[in-house]
Amino acid sequence: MWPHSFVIAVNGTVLTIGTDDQELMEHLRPWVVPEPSSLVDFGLQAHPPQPENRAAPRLLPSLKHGSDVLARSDDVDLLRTALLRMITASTNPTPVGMIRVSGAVLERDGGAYVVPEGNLRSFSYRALARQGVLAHPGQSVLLDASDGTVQLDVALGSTDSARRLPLRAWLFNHREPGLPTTVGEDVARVLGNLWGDWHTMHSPTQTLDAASTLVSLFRPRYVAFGRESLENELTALFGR
Amino acid sequence: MSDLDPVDDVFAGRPDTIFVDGVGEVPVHYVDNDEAPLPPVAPNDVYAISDEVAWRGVGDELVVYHQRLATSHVLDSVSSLLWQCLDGVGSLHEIFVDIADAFGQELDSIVGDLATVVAEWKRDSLVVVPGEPVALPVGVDPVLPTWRHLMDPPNN
Repeated sequence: MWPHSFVIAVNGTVLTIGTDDQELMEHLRPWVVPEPSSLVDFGLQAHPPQPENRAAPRLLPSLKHGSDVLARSDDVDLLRTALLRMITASTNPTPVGMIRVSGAVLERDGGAYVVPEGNLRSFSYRALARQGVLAHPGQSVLLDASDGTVQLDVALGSTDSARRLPLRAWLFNHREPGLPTTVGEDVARVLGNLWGDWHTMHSPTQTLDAASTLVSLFRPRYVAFGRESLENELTALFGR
Repeated sequence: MSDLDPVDDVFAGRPDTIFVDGVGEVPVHYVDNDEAPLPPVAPNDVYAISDEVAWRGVGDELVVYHQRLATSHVLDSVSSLLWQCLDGVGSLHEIFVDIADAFGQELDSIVGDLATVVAEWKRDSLVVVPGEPVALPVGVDPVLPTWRHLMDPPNN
């Protein structure tokens, strides 16, 4: 159970937040509405209860979607920002000419690598940082078909403009990642990985055009489920 | 359990009941989970591509996308030709005859495959009978609600 759970309304969408983080509660106060809270959509546990045995592993703060842990890190600021970005992603329509696909962004050398969020969950962000990789935890990624860039979502309440990074690679889960694909199959698979509900998307023609354009710029790669599969892909991309 | 011969019964050997805490023994009903059966199509049927569908040629294939249902399909060259013939005017029989002529095939040798493809498209709401209202699947609200709730978070 969360020490605090409350409902916020953003752009006509309501969602329930659970947290033990005072800073997050204060930040979200302008969007709180007097609605009965229901199942928690997103949660930030900044102060997990620690085991009494001091030799036992310490629990790291975590970012959650329902009861799914999306990320664990001792960097609470990173998790808080990620949650605020996820709220933006969940409450804003997809801009014209863009598509929003499921995944998370890894940033390296000024470029963006879109990877399946599920594969990333058990990664150590500190270990990634040692490889020069900055992880942006999240569930979805906004891609601009006009220039092949990734637009990082702006954290709710931030006045910063959205950062853009050139897309270097995008990976999606597939049970048989080694199967050769046609361009048409790649487009269909990208469409199968669109994130969000159809209310927040543009016309199907615009969505299809954007997906086709992006695939013509960068053919997606595929990776099996699980951490090890992604580790192998990242080794292929970044070296050891 | 069904009355089928155990050899043919894919559910043979599975328990008829399970125990649920606080409830007791409850019966278990097993069902096949095949794809929805194909709807019938007839030679005189006329179909058009659904307004809710976008499609685009990619290489020598055609990608078809139904946004509301979040489905995408890749059609090969023959299916692509058939797709583009569904203009809401010509009957399936007329279209199949034209395609058989174009490929130099006997109509009988291709009609089964083509009819099956059209039936699959009909089942998947990619094609419609012109003038018929589009039926929304149960649970889909045709109007955007004032308050849009996110889908239930996982595992709660």
